[in-house]
Amino acid sequence: MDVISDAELMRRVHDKQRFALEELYDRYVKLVYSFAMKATRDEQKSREIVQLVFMRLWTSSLSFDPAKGKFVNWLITITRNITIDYLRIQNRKNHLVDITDFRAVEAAELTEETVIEQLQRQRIRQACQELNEKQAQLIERIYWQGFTLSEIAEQNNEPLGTVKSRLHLALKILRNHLGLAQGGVRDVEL
Amino acid sequence: MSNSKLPECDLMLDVLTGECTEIERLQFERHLHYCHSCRQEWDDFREIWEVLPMDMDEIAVPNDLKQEVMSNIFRPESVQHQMYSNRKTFVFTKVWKSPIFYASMTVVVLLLLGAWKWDALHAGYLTGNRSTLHIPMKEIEDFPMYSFSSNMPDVKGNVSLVSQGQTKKLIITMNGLHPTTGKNVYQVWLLHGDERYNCGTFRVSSDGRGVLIYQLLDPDVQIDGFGITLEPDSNGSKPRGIKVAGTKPKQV
Repeated sequence: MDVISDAELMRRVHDKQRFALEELYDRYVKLVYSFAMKATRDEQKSREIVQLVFMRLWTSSLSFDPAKGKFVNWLITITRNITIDYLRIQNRKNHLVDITDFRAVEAAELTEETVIEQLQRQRIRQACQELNEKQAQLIERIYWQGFTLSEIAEQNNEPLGTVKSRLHLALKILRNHLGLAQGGVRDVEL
Repeated sequence: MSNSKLPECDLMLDVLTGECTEIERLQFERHLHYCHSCRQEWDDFREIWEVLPMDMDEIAVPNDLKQEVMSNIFRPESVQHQMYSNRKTFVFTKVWKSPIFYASMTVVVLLLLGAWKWDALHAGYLTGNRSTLHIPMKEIEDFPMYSFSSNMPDVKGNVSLVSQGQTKKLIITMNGLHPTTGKNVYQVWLLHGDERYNCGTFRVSSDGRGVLIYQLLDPDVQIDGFGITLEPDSNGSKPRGIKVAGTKPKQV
C-alpha cells in the first residue's frame, strides 16, 4: 500500500477525516513533543503544547502548501508559534532556565531511517558548541523561549544594537561551521 | 549585510525573528532584490533558522498522550455538547414576562438584523465571529418532525440541515412540547442505523417552543433521521427518556 503523503494527510484533515490526523500524530508527535520539551523542560507543559498543536491542525483553516517547503518545517513553525504563545502566557520571566541545564529525558532511538537526521543533528549541535555562552544563551532565548530582541536587551540591560550584533555574529559562526557557503547544510558531506 | 549599509539592511534580524511589521517585511523583501550581500546572508540565516530545531534530542512521547490528545479533540459528543449547549441552547423561562426581557430582546433582534443587513465588517464586531460572516449559509435538507407521544399529540417541528463553508449545522425548531421542569431537557438525536448521536439539549417554556442550533462534528455523517427525547438531565450520551418527536410518523 502506498504511503500517503503529508500534504494529502493534511488535505484529509481539512475534510475532517480522523484517521488522517492520527496518522500525522503518529508521524510527528515525537518532533512536536521533543520541541516542546526542549523549550519548556516540563512534561505537563509539553503535553499541553502537543494538544494545542494537533487541535490547531484539526480545527483551524491552516493549509499546507507543498510548493512552499517541507511539511516538517511548516509543522515546526506552527509548533514554535504555539510554544512561544504558551510560554508568554505562562509568565515565562519566572521560568528562565539556563541552556546548560537541559538534559534529554531519554536518548533517541536510532533506526536506519533516522541515521541521516541524527548525523545532521550532531553537526548542528557541534556548530552550536562553537558559540560562546552569551551567544548560545541568546539563540536559546530567542528561538526556543520566544523572547524578542528588545526584551533580551532589557533583561541584560544592554543596548538593542549590542544584542542584534551578538545574534548576527552567532548566526555567522553557525553558518561557517555548518558549511552553508559550500551549498547548504543538507548537502554537506556527513 | 553590506559594507555600505542601508537602513533596510538592519531589518534582517527583525524579519528573521518575526519581530517586524508587515510593512517592514515587505520593505526588506524589496531590498533583497538589489542588495546582494543581504541576499546571500538572508538565505544562509534563514536556513540556519530552519535547522535549529535539529539541536534537540528526540524524547520518548508518553504512551498515554495520544489517547489524551485525541479524546480531547474527538471528545464524546455528550461532553462536547455539554460545553457547546451552554452557549447554544435557548432557554425560555419566566424571564420572558419581564419588560427588561422584551427590551433586551428588541435590542438583540435589531443588532442581529443590522448585522445581517449591513456588511460583514460591522457584523464581525457584533457577533464576534468574523470568520464565517462572508460564508453564505445554504440549506441542504429539511427533516419534518412529528409527534411520537400520545401525551404530546400537537408536537411538530423541523430539523434543517444547512452548510456553511465546510461546516454543517442543524437548526431545530419545535412547537407543541410540554414545558420542561427541574433539570428536564429535550435531547435531539441524529439517527444512523442503530446509532444515536447526541446533538444537544434544549429547554422549553410555557409556550411550547424550543430551538437548538448544533454544528455537526463530522460533516459527512450519514443521516437516517432525527429523534427527540425528554430526558431527566442534559448529561446523557444515550437516550434514557421517552421519545416525543421523530422524523417519521409513528407506525400504528
